[in-house]
Amino acid sequence: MDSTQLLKGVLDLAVLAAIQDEDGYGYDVVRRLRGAGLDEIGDASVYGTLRRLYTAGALTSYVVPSDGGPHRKYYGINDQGRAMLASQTEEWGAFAAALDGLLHPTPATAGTVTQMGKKA
Amino acid sequence: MTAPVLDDSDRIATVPPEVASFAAAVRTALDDLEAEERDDLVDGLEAELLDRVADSGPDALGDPAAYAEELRAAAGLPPRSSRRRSTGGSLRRAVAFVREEGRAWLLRHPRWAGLSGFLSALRPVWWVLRAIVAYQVGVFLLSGMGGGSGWWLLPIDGGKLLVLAGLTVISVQLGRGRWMPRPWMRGVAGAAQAVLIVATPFVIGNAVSTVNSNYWAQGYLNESEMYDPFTGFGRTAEGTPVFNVYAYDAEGKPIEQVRLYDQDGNPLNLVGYGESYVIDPLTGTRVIVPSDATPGSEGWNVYPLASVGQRALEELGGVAPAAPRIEPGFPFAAVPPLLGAETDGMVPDASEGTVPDASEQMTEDVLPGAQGAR
Repeated sequence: MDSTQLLKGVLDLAVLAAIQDEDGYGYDVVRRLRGAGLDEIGDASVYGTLRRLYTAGALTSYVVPSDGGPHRKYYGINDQGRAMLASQTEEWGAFAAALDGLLHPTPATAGTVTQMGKKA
Repeated sequence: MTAPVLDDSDRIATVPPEVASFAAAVRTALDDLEAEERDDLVDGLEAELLDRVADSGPDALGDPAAYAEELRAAAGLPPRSSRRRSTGGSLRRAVAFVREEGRAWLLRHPRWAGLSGFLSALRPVWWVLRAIVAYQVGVFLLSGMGGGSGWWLLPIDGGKLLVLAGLTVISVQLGRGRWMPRPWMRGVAGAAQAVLIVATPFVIGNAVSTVNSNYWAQGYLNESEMYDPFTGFGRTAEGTPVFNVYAYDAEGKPIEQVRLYDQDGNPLNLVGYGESYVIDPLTGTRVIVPSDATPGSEGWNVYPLASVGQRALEELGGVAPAAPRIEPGFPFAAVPPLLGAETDGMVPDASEGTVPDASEQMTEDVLPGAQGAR
């Protein structure tokens, strides 16, 4: 299975989560995502996502110059971003639980799957 | 080996050539986007690429076109092919082309990159300047054309200064890439910037002319402290103003009319230069007129000059032709004859008003122009 396809749907969530505690520039975020095990993630996808989230008003942005090198564009999460992160986290939780339940049906979780599946 | 590269703030930064060329290729692949959109997308790109190369080597960069497509897709922008082509688009592409070419040219001529660096170092100056221009445009729009006399480049009173300070903060923050959370704001800011660029020469011109006229007015003020009513009048060697001449002949008798010329044969005009009258600055009421014995107003070198009453002045700045002339009284009825002058034994008497025929005759003979005068 192509995990890049999987990632596409949750890229916003992953990126928001990666900068929820600390501001970061593009490659920072890539590193954090890879560090978390998301190896297939493309640099440009992360940068594009950061720009889009910024345009959507979920992120703040500022430029940090560096001596002798090109400047870095840092991103930070704002309240709107945190709200987005919270709601997407909830959606993802419901989705993952539903899929989990589908993949590993047990009597204990069967009920939850139905319940969560409706919610999602 | 490194080459200077323009990053998105147009700063010169040192970036390895493979990164620079990759970034340039990405930009080219995005050149169908609006400039702001594209710049927004690739802002800081070189730094990211540098990190990637530092981590995984130059081969990790891959295909710039694919990179650009991925960037575009993740940013939620439509793929290149589906982009609608409009006339505006072609203009945008032309602008993008020029920018790209300029960038490439700078890459080939690193020496000129220094100029670009110099200019971009001046950007904060523009940020402040455009705030002032915005303030002046605002003042102009609010007050209309009648700005009046008290135009100042910078406001003087506190409230207006506060407004200007606010504008400056906004301008600088925008210049630093802050405070631009929505894409449409960039459009508005771009349009505003265009207006300000157009308005800037006018504001600067206004400022320069204001400064100049203030400076001039100051000079004028200083001059008026030693105001000289006889400016333009003749003077003696000691500097005493002269506005009339009374001539006496060798026998000491007054000469009723004498025509004077300077060393170059030019009329010796002490008061006027072709005017139909000159108001005596000393009294302010006496109106000095040229001799009416010459055509037009050429009689300014025929002395003594007569004057007319102020009532003789007509509305349109002329002297009524029939205005009675006030003949000047000679300061002395007679003066002592010159040594060796032939006296006929008669006591000189100014009241007789005898004018030696010879002098008048000679005037006509010597000056052909005088013939037409009659």
